[in-house]
Amino acid sequence: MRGRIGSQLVQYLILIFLTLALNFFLPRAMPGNPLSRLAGEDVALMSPEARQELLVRHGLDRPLAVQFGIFLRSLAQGDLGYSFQRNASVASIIAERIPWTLLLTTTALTLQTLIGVMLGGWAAWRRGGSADYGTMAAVMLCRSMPSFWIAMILLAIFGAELRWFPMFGAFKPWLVGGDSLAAVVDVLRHLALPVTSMVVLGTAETFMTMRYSMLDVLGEDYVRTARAKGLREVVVLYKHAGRNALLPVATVFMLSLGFAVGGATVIETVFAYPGMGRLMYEAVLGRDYPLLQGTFLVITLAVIAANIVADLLYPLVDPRVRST
Amino acid sequence: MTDLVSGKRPYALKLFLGNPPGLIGALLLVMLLGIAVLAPQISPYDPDDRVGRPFQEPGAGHLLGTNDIGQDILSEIIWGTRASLTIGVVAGMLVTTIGTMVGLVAGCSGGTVDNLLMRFTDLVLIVPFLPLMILLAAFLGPSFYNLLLVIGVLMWARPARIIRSQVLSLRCRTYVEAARAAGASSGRIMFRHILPGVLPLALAQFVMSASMAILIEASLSFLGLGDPLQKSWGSILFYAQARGAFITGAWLWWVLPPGLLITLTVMGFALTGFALDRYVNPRLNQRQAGG
Amino acid sequence: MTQGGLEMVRGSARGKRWVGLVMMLILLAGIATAASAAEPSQLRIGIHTEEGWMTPYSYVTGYPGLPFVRMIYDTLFIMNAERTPVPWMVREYSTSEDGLTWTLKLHEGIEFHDGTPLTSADVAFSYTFMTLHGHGPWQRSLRGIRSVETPDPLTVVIHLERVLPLFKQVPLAEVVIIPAHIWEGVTDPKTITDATGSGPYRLLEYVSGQFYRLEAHPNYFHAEQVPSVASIIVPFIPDATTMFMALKAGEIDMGTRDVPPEMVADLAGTAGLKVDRGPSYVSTLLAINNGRPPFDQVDFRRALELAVDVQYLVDIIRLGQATVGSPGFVHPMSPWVAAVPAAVKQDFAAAAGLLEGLGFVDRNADGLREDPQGNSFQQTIITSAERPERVRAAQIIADWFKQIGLNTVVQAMEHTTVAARVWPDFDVTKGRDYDLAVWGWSAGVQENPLNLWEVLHTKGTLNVGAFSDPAVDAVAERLREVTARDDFRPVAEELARTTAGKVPFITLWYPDNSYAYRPEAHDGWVYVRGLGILDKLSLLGPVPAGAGPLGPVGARSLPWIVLAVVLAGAGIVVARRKRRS
Repeated sequence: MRGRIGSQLVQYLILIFLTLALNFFLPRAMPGNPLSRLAGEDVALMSPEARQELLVRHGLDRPLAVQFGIFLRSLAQGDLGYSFQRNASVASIIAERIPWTLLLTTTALTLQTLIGVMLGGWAAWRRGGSADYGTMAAVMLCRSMPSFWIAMILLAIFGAELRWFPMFGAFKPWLVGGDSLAAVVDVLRHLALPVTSMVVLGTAETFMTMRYSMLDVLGEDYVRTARAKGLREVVVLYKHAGRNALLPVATVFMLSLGFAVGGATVIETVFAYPGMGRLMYEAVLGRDYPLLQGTFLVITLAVIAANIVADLLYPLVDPRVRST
Repeated sequence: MTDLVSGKRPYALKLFLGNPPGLIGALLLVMLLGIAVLAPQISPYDPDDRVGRPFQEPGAGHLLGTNDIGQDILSEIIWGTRASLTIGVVAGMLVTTIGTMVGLVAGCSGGTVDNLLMRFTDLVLIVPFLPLMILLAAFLGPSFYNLLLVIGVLMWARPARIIRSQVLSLRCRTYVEAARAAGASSGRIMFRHILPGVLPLALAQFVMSASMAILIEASLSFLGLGDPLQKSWGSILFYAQARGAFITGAWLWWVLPPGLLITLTVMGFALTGFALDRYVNPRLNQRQAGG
Repeated sequence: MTQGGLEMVRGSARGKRWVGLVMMLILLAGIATAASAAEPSQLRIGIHTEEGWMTPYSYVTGYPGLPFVRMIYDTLFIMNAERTPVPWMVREYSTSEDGLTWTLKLHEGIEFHDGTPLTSADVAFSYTFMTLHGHGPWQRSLRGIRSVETPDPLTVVIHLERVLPLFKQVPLAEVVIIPAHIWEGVTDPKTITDATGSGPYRLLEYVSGQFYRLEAHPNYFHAEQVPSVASIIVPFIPDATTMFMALKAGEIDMGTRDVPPEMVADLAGTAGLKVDRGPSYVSTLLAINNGRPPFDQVDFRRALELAVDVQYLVDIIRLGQATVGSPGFVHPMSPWVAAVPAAVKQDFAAAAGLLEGLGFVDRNADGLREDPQGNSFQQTIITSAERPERVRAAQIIADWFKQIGLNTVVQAMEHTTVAARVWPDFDVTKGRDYDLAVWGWSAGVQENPLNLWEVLHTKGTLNVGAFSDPAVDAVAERLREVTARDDFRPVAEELARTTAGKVPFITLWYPDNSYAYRPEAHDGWVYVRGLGILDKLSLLGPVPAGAGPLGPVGARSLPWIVLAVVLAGAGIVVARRKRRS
């Protein structure tokens, strides 16, 4: 067991190294030059010496391999570098974004898991009936919508037209002013539209997983026994069958949690939410290499961590896996 | 598809008829295919001609109004069906081909080859998808074919895993070893005997990937990373939202129809995919029949 | 089964009702709070890019970044609404007879935001610091300064190497004054996160990815022109649609984005909104790579120019809200010219004639001309995929070029990639890799007549098309010899006349810019000639208004608190379900 974990760790380390390398060289191979971000406006009018000095100051004059070495060394020292575009340290920028990203994505993930589990279990119970097909069709319809499209439409209806919810940002800086309850409520109101968009799009995965695994479990002997004993359907569904059917759902949840750190680029852009997805997208457009590397690294680490946790937890939760 | 259908026609037919979601999905796809094929006949104008004033509201002559340079939106949408279906089909095929090849080779070879391929698959699975997508799309430039390529390159990992496990259950390795002992080439075994066994599964994966590819094209178009010169539903939506459709109220006829069509297409692919999935996955099927 | 199913439905309905109830309560509470909380009178300006700490060394874009830097930091002179430099921090000034020595007397009582008095030493420090660490045009403008002396705390004496006809504009109205006590000893100015200046507004708070908060400088020095708004909130809204929707819904009072032509009527017709529109010095052009045959032949470029109907582009793409591009490049509203050459009329026959003369003939009757050697010819227009106006222009122009028999392909690519092809490393000496490109210059290029040299001279740093013409070079050289501001005019006009007909590029249009705002929140907006309403001048006025500013929010722990609330809510839902079943 310990040996297996060890070799897995080595494999993960190799994975991390490869993603780091990919993420280091790919943006640098892209056409375009970060000079305009480094120099601010009117880079054209800079003297050649000034440009050179700027490149030297940011280490961009060295050969790529050397730059990669320097990047790895500073990374080992916990230094993510300094953003070209935003004139702040990458670590501090990411640290400011992570809480908001997690708030947005975890809220959506929690809601869609709850809804997906309830609907999925129910659909499996009524399998083959119109209720099953109806729910399935509805959930699939939601999943099939382009994300920006549904987000924009929610924004147009509930934000612009009805004005029920605020349309952009994470909270209203001019409204909050320190009163903590009002602040919490304000943040929740700002979550409403982006979270709804994400739940509409994301429920399908949990729903499908839950439905399939529930179908699986409902055929097992002990469920048949329980039903034969005349136990109430609800009890059978949620207590006996549900508990086992939840395992795959838990795995889906864990893996999604890993990707949650990466945020949701499109949703964040539409609702001007200060998340990681938009940050990374802006870094690509601006050729902000350090920021790009930083966000990519954090996202990859989160995904891998979620994988490891899922791997480790799975045998603990499911006795059937333990033996293998 | 013909292999699958002609082999067990009555059963496949029953499968779709007895499965309303699958039937709906298949009907949707047939309808969209019809629109795509008949585009020259049914579209009122050439979508590239500037036939009216820009930003016209729906009316006689232009059922869905005109776009920002006076092209007929309805004609754009009809012709866009071709591009969007092409994206789905071509990207789906690319994904499935790569995935099936990797899964087949990994599953049949075993040992170091299997191990290396699977670790590589892990890498592709673990690398954050959208970031890499944005990076690659920006790197290769927003051309229609690059977009297909990017989707193909990034989405094959999941099918590869699924195909591999199916190959393992087909005892490919035993076949290959036996064939090798008999002096036959292992490639021949792989393609002659094992490939037909995983094709139904690959078909289901193809349909799933196709639906994902259409959604991804639309999202990339929104972010400005699509190809604005190709008339697809994604690019129609890009222009609509970039040129104020949501502000001026034009979204009712400029944004809703292409978005709904994307939704219906993706759903068509997905529902068909689930129906196929059940068909190729006997265990689930049995449950269904027995339950 | 049916009975059990019903039972279960009832159970889950009860659960859903409970969840729904909680959600409804939260929402109602939220809506109620939002409705009852009186929002203090603050001006909310939505900004579309993030500008880092808004210091003169770390802002990112010339627009909208620089206007905010100018609110926080002051300059010795200021550009008025007509873009003429007038004294600002300077009470009076005099010039020596040879024009080489400027003596400037500062106003008394100028303070930085932290209360430190601003003296001539800070001025001298700012100019020296800019010379050492500065960037772009500001640094260049300081090259003509020999020395800066500070005989007393309110007097600055500047000695020049040579006469600078635009000295009041650059550097005096451009280079901002920074506090010496904060910047002294700084070696990497981009790392400074203290935006203390002496301008009318003070940067109170900057939350990355979310907003800036500015408040009025309480001890602003000026007698009449004081900050007219108590507090300004500047939230980031990257998406254009979201920003204009927020404007319509009254969530912000002004947006930094230029309102696109198709939205102007709608926003102007929205109750409570006003749209100010004016011509802008921005230019959109079809760049031509003069260094690559056949574009090196002036007749070929003329043929292209004859195929383009700039008025049609203005009508269709800009819905008429633009000025037609002049073949002399200079904007007709530019202070440096009285008249500009008129646009060329579209004439396919004349264009075809020129092409025939060059040997571009359709030999195989496929409707497309082959080059003089008889090889098939194809030219490519590259354009930025994320800018729909440019893509549309490229498509329409390509159609015209096809009509004169030139096979033309449009390629849309990411803007940074277009820039890398047209202007690699932003250095024209590094060459270029394109045939034709839809390109644009920011307003600043038209503002300084010396930039015409940079755009049109063979050695100009903005000459991205490698244009080279001896006659144009000769006139452009004379621009550099001008010694008085008023003497630029005849030379600039002659340069425009000489350039027209040489077709270094095809100037397509100068857009009108429109900006929307809520007059109810603030009505002091000034449309600065050629630029727009986001300017320090718009936020200065006689009377300060409204309530006092709020303290900083301290948003660091907020997301965590709310996340805890959400998770606790979910936990309760799960726990209750469990207990019931």
